[in-house]
Amino acid sequence: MFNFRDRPIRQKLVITTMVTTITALLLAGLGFILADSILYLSYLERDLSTLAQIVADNSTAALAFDDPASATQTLGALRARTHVDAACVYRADGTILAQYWRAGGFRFPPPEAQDLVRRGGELIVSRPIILKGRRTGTLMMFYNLGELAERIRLYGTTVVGVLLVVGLFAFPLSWRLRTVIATPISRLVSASTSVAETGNYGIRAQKLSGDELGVLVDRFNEMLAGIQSRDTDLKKALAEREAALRAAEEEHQRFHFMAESMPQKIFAAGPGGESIYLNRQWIEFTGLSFGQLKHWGWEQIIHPDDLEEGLRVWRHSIETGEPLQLTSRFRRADGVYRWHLNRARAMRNADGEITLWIGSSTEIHEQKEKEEELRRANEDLQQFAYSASHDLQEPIRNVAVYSEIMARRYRDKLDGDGLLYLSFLEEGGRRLARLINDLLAYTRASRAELSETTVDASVALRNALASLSEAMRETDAKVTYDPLPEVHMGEAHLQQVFQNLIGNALKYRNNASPRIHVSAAKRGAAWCFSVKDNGIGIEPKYKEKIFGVFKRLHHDQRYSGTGIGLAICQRVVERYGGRIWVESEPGEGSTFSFTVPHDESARRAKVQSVAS
Amino acid sequence: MAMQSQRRGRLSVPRLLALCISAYVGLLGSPASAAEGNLEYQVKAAFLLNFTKFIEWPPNAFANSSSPFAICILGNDPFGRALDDVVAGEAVGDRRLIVRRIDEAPAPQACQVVFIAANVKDLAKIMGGLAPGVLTVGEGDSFVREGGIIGFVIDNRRVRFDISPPAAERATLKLSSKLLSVARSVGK
Repeated sequence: MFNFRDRPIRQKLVITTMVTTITALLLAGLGFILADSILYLSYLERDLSTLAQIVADNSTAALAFDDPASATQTLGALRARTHVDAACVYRADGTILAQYWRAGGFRFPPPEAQDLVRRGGELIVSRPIILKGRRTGTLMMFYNLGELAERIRLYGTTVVGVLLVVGLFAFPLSWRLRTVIATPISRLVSASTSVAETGNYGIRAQKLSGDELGVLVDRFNEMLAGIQSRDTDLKKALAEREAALRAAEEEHQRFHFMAESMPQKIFAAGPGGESIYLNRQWIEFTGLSFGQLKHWGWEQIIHPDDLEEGLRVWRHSIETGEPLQLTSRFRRADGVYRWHLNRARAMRNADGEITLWIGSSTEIHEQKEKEEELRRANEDLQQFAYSASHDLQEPIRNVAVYSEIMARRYRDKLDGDGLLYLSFLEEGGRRLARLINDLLAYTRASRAELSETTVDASVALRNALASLSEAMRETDAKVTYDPLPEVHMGEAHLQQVFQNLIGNALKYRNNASPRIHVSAAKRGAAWCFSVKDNGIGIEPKYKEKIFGVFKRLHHDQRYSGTGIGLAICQRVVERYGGRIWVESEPGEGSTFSFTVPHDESARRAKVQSVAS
Repeated sequence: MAMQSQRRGRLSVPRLLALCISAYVGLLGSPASAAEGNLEYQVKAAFLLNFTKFIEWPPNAFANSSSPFAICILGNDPFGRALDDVVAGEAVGDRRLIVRRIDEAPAPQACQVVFIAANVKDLAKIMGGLAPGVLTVGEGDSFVREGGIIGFVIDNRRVRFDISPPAAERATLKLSSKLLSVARSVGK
């Protein structure tokens, strides 16, 4: 079908011009014919009315004296009007007085009441014949409108002729117009086409006129220039980007190689915790494919006993973003579970959102087994020490009791040497009893249940001072302390630590009376308590040693003791997830410090790290 | 139809003209009977009335502005009631139309139309004695030749009339050309 929308502009121009011209001419012609017809009809009506009036006037006498001949003669004058087909004079009663027709066989209808009627190509004029104010008859004239049709035909022919002539002129004119408008456009089109085909933005369209099309060409060229410069920039940017991509790819390959060649098992997980990368070591260790291990596939290789804890710790890290640290067993390809230490850290973007978790799992099975052996041996030893010290109490007490009885009852019977030996026996028994007691205290500190309650540290300190009141009086000691916080620790345990530290300070004093100060400060996730004295101080090389069991630096009689107090303190503090240490200069006094973690989770983490 | 018209008490001009057709038929037949004569005079009465519509009388034809328009019958009245019926209620201009029957030449301004019956003798004398402004109507071919203005004739069994414009001019009457066009002959 002919689709005007898709025609080239030059054809549109010609078609539009021609259609407009022809339509305008046709409409003008039609309007002219219509107006002429209307004008002609009204002229005709007026003319015929006048004619009818004259004939009617001339027929009054003929009617008055009933003279058909005269009336016929009057009507005969109408022969001069070619288009009057017929006429008739009716008497007042409707009968015909006289009639006239151009061609025979005209049948006259009864007189019309209406003045003017158009019927079947005839204009019928009806006029009353009035004599002295009285209607004496009617005149009717039948006018053939064929004349009008002739006129219209003539006009139509003229319009068609004019159309042909106009078309003859309009077509070349519109053809000329075509070159004025369509040529610049097709130049523009061919320019844009060659740009599109060659991709050469250096092409420019030629400007042919200063009108809107010229402006269009200018804008088109400016646009091309803009695109050209942007194209250059883009190519440069693309090259840079490609280089960057290549560098990134190399970097990626380096890291990939690094991850693959690590002895550890490396994994990467999304922010939701699903594994998205696992290195070769995982595949080799488990004997499973990446497809089986990815996302949460590790749940099937972790030891069922470690699964719950593993999920809990991993989820905690995902929610809080805290680094993951977890020991767990993974099943090897041969079905054997091996201990692993798993660590992971979150990678964050500029907004601080976690984008990736990178982690490693190191096999620590042998280490763990050794630790386990050691722990078991330690436990056995502690158990042995506890039972031994417990069981030894009775015989030792017997030794003490009976040597005392012997000294009392058989003093007179023993000679000097005997008494001396007896006193050695007594002294040895007492020391043994004290040793056993301290050993028991130490093993108890290791075994006692950790308290879940909190304690006001100042209460624990006051209790400790009360126990030491006698020694403080003897040494004229002054103990001061700052306001102390509440901490997660058993009251008896904290009191034990204070009592040991302050007791030591009283014991290892200078010649001056002891001055002791207790303070507490927040340090990270823990409270740090300090006990500062003005005693004899400790040489740096003994700083670690002094916390060992039965480690005594001074063996002279001035400083009595079994050397187990600091070991007990260390044991208690570490069991609560804290740490104990000393800062000292010989002769300048010592400051013993220990930490107590704030809350459960920190303590638990601490305990775990200590355990591993 | 004639019976119907008479029952209404008066014959209108159109109805009378319609009667004319039957009148010809009547005239066509055997010697005129009384009834047939009546029909002829009914037509003539209508013609008398119609003459007043095509002729203009000078103002001095009337005694004064309110005097009636009189149609006078001189001699034996051949119309019977026909003329009275035709004239009843009619007017010429503003003037009432009346019928008078007279025995001698009328006085000036007394009659505007004088119908001179066939039996009246000495026509020339009567007409010579008439004042201007009087239309004389008579019967027969000779009436116009003898100085009358309009003379009824029977032509081809129809009532027609001859007319003499010079006589009318002498009587200071203006004749409509239309009247002349329907006259059988127009005298010189």
